[in-house]
Amino acid sequence: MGESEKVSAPETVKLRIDDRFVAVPAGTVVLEAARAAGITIPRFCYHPRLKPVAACRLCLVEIEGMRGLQPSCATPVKEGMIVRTQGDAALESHKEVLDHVLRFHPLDCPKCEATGHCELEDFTYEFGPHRVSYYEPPGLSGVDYNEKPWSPLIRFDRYKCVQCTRCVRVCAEIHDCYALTTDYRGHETVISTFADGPLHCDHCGSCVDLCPTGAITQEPSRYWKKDWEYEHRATICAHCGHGCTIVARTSRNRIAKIESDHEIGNNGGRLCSLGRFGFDIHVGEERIEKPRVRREGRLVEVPWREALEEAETMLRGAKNSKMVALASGFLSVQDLFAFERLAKRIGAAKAAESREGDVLERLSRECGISGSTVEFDEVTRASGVALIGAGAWERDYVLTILLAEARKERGLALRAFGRPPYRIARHCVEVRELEPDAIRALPVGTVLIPDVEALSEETLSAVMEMVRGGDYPLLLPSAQANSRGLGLFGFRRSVLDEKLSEAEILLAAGPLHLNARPGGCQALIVSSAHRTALSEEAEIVFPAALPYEKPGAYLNAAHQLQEAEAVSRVVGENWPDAAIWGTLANLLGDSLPLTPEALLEAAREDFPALSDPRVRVGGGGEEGGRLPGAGLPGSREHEGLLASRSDYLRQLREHLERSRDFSPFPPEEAFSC
Amino acid sequence: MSAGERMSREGKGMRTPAREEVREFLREIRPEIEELCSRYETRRAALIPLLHRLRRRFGFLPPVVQREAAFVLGIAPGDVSRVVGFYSLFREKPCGRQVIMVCGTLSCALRGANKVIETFKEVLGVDLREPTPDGEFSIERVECLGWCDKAPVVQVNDSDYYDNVKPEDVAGLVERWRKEPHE
Repeated sequence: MGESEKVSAPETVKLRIDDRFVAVPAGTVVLEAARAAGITIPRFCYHPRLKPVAACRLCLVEIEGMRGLQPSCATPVKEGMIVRTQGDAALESHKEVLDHVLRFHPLDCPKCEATGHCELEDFTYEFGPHRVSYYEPPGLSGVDYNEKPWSPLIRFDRYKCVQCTRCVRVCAEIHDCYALTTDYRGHETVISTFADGPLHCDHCGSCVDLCPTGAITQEPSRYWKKDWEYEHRATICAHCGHGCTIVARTSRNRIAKIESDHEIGNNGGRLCSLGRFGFDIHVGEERIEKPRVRREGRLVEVPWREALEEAETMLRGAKNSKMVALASGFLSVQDLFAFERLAKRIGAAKAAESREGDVLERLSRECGISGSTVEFDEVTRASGVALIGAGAWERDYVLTILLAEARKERGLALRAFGRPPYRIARHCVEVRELEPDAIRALPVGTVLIPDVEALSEETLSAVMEMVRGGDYPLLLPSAQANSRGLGLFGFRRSVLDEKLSEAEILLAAGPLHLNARPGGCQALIVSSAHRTALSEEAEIVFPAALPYEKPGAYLNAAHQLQEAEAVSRVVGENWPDAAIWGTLANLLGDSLPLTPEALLEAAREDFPALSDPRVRVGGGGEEGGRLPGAGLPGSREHEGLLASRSDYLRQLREHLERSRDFSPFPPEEAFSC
Repeated sequence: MSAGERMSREGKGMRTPAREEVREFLREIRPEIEELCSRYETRRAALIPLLHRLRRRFGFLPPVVQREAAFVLGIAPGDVSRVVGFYSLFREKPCGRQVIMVCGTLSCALRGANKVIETFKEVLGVDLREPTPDGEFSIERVECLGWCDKAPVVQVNDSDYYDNVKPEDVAGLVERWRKEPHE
């Protein structure tokens, strides 16, 4: 944004709340102004991520000159306004509303998942009533109030629900999913799934994040620890190339659950099922925990030193062989850099399964740009966006729902080329077949989001041509957490296609689709966190740490370099890939530093492109996650190599398969209107 | 009434229709739905008239009907179920082909509505909201029908009101409705 385009500072409004004078931007609601002044006004239905509905009536305050009490969540501030939150009328009304909410709320706080971070608990403690005046049995409408699982991963307890409808609204307003609704009316209103059936949805888990009480909870962390006993650790999700910020809640260095925090990160609290529930990939029988080396035809466990020395000998003796170093897009920048240095030292060709490297190379050669030219939030503010090819809507769930939200909120003109599912198509002003000429006819200024992995040469050329002209911003979605980094370090799909079949020595790092050793391969060295078809055929297998278990930086689709923290303890004797390949490079004569910080610095020196704008996310002590501070499912493309290891996600897939009849969206064949 | 509708009277109210049956019916009345939608700015607005149409055809609105109705209008099934749950005239549970709605609010209650309801229950041998075994009738106590000066008032499906209903009229009325059923 140029100097001249600077947005002028928003107008400031001054008002008095109780004994404090506050200055806030015009348009702020009274409740937020009070929060800025450090004054708590209780509320249920208000949430900063949602549009105010003023439905729960808990946030009523006195405002001088206005008749009766006003909902502070929906009343914008005015210059000179005098607000009283501590008057008898307001305090009496808080008490009365809470009394009604508590009419059948089970006071089973010792065994409730939400104890310690429950808004009903906090507000009742502070504002009363401290004795509930009456009891009214629920279920007059014949609805089943008993606690039940909505799915294997999300549980619902209707007794604890305060009908704030935040879950219903976040599902519809933000996630465009419409899986939750309200049923019946008046004091019998209940939150419900369609027909009170199983929850068939994206399982983004935002309803869990936004629930003020223990009504909607995550199943996996149930009865583990109380909320205050978990640590908060903000980090970057490594399941896809969006690079969402997640808040891992851990106990004794194990992840209990993943939450989101709308105040940090590029995802504004949005997550997909992979980010939310795909954290249990570290466990399972298939995890490799010790280095293994092939002896007399069998893989046997050996100490690290032995495995590394064997690899060193193998590589030293193979100076003149044809070598290929194949890297995964799930490796961090540090991992890739160490692997790249090793490849350079032994003269191996750098290969990748993702096409991003080749496309980036063309982009820089033909258009003079190094990757995406826009950030995620700029995409949603654009006048138009074109999704070109299936990967464009399948790879990055959060981007897709951001676009749907922008269409609903700001009338973003969304166009899709290919055959988008109903959920995308319903938001499009235009759906066309994937033809270069149709793409060339796009209005100037439309942000292009091409599926770089699968586009034909012809279509890709059309996109390149348009980007070169400078009239079309570009966002390349990334399939894997760091496939952009793969490209930056020079790992190419074209190299894989050309050289794999003749490789005599193959080094394969990280989770890969490749599932058989190439014909001419005499030696296969693999680093992997899990047993795979490839690892079982290898000569040497190094046990690798997973993204949750190691610090590392990831370059996302919008070209942000984000640093992730280790949030979970390392299983077995596993090392990060950076340590594995860095040590091997050092054994062969290199002198790589082996701390994450030093490796990143060294990588920046070798690859100045890494010094682009970066976002740092704090780890450890940073508070996050909780209020008030705080692929489309079923699509195969979206199921990453890492996600396929998660038992929670497997359970989710099975649940979604079983509950098809409760999907909020029509099955494609029925959609004829 | 189309031929398909007449033939289906047997199952109305009692049997949950198969999805294909619902789709078939929606295809049949598609022009009517499109005409309805054309009267409003959004397709969503045609929901209540469409639900009435489906109610007259199937008697009650089980999830399968709600879901298909949602997809025809391009809205979420949950948006349909919240409307169905809100209005007492849309029933989610099986009901008789003829639903006998007896007003039980103040004026009618004072003029003996409870006795009328009891008599209906005796004559038909069923409880409130429980269809008769042949699926012909079910009885409901409803809120004010707005005809207080002629209490007690009874309505069957979308019929005109039967006013000044006395317990001794009940058997005769049931007999009459069996012979000339309300749609």
